[in-house]
Amino acid sequence: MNLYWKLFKASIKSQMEYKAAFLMELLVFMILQALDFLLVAAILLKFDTVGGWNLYEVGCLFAVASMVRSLYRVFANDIHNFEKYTANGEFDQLLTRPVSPLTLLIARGVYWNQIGGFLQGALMLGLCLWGLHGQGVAIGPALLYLPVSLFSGTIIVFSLGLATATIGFWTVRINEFLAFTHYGPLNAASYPLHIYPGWLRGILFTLIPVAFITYVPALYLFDKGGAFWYLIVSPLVALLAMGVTWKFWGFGIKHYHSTGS
Amino acid sequence: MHFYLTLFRKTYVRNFQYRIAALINNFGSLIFGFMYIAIWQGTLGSSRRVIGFGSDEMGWYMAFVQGVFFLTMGLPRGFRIDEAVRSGEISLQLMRPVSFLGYYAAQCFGFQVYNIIFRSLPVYIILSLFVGFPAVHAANLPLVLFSVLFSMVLAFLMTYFVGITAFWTNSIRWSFIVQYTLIMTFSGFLVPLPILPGWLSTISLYSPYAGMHYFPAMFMLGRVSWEGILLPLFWCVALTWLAVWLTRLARRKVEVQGG
Repeated sequence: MNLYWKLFKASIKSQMEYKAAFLMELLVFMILQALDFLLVAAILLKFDTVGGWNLYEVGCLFAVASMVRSLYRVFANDIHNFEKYTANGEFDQLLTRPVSPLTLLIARGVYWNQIGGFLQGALMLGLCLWGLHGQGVAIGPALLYLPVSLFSGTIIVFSLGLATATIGFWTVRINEFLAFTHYGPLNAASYPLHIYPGWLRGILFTLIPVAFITYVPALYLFDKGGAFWYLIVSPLVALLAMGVTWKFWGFGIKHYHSTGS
Repeated sequence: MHFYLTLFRKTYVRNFQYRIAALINNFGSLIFGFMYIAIWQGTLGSSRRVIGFGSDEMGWYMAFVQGVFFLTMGLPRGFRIDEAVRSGEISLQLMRPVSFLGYYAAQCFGFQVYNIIFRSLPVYIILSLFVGFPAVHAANLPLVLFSVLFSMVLAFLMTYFVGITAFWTNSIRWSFIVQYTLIMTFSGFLVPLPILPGWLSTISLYSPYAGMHYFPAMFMLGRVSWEGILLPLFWCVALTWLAVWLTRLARRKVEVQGG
C-alpha cells in the first residue's frame, strides 16, 4: 500500500509537468464523451421518453456509466492497454519483480488525463439530478447511493478489463475483444436496458454484468418498479465478478508463455 | 495502373491475415448496432413516427449505417501517414515515381473492399435478420451502389486529410479528433440528419459528411433524391482537388525541411 501511494504521487507529479497539454486533453475527452449523448438528446428533443425514461433519468444512467468508465481508466489504464504487455513481451519484466504483477500494473500510472469522463459525468449527473428535483422527484437516496454505485461500477468494469487482459495470455492480442467486453457493453449500460432484445439483456445481466452498474439500482432509486434489495445486489455482483476474475487471472498467469521474440 | 492494382490487392491480402480478430470485433460492433436500433425502437414503439420513419424504417436505417461505418470509420487513423513522417520513411514515399495520393487511395480501396466482405456485410446481414430487409426497388440499386461508392471516396479523402496534417503538426491526434467529431455529428451515423435541431440539420445536409452515411442509407430505404447524388459528387470532386493541392504543399514542405 505504501509503495502504491508513492508511485501514485510520482505519477501525478510527472503528468502535471505538461499542464496545457493535460488540460486540452481533458477538455477533448469531455466533449467526445458528451457527443455520445447527441443521439439521445436529439431523440428526446422530439419525444419525451426513451423506453419510458425521461431525459434526466437516462442522463443519470449515462453520467454514472461515464464516471465509472473514466475511474477505471484513471486507475487501471495499463490493464485496459494490456495488449502492449503481451504483444511486446513486456509482461516478462513484471514477473521478475518481487511484487505481484497486478499491483505493479495498477501502480504503474494514474492516468489523470482520463479524468475528463468523470468530470463530464459529474457535471451531467448534477444537472440531471437538479432537473429531477425540479420535477418533484426525491433525489436524496440517489445521492446517498452514488458512492456505492461508483465503487461497484468501477469494480465491475475493472473485472471485465482484467478478464479481457487474462484472455490475452492465450490470444496475445486483446484490443479486438475490447469492443465486445468494454466499449459496447458500457455504452449499452448508458441506457435503460429493458429496451434491448432479450438475448442482449441476458448477456448484459450475466456474462458481462454491466446492468448492475447503474440500471438495476436506478430501477429502485427512480421508482421504476425496483425493490430495495436491488441496491444490495449491485455491490455483491461486483465483488463476485472481482472474485471470479481474480481466480481467472491467477490461472492465466500460470499458463503464460512469453511471446519469446 | 498495374502498380495501384497490386497495392490494392496487397492491402487486401495483408488484412486477410487478421480476419479472426475482425470477426471477434464484429461482435462488439453488433452490440453497438443492436443498441442504436433498440434505442430508436424503444422510443418510437409501434405508433410514433419521425421524418416519416416508423420503428421499421429506423431499424433498417440504423442497420445499414452500421454496415457502411466500416467503410468510413474502419480505416487506419490518417493512413498512418504521421508514422511515416516521424520515421522519415515519407521522403522515400514521396520519391516514388507514383502519385502519393494515388498510393494511399489504392491502399484505402484495399481496406474498404476487405471491410465490405468481412465487416460490413456480416454485420449488416446479422442486424437485418432482426430488423428485416427493406424492399429495394431494382431500379434504385445502381443509385444505392453509387451512393456507397461516393461514401467510400469521401471517407478516403477525410482520412487522408487527417493523415496529411502530420506534415505540419507531427501528431495527428487533434485533427483526428476534430474529424471524428464532425463525422459523428454531421454524417447521419447516430441520427438521420433532418432530426437534428434547426440549423444543425441544414448545415449537416449540405456538408460533405452527409454523403458518408445519410444519403446512402436514405437511398437504401428507397428515398432517392437528386441532391443525394449531386451533393456528394460535388464534394468528391472539390475535396479531391483540395487533396491534390494539399499534397503539393506537403511535398514542398518536406523539401524545405530536407526530408
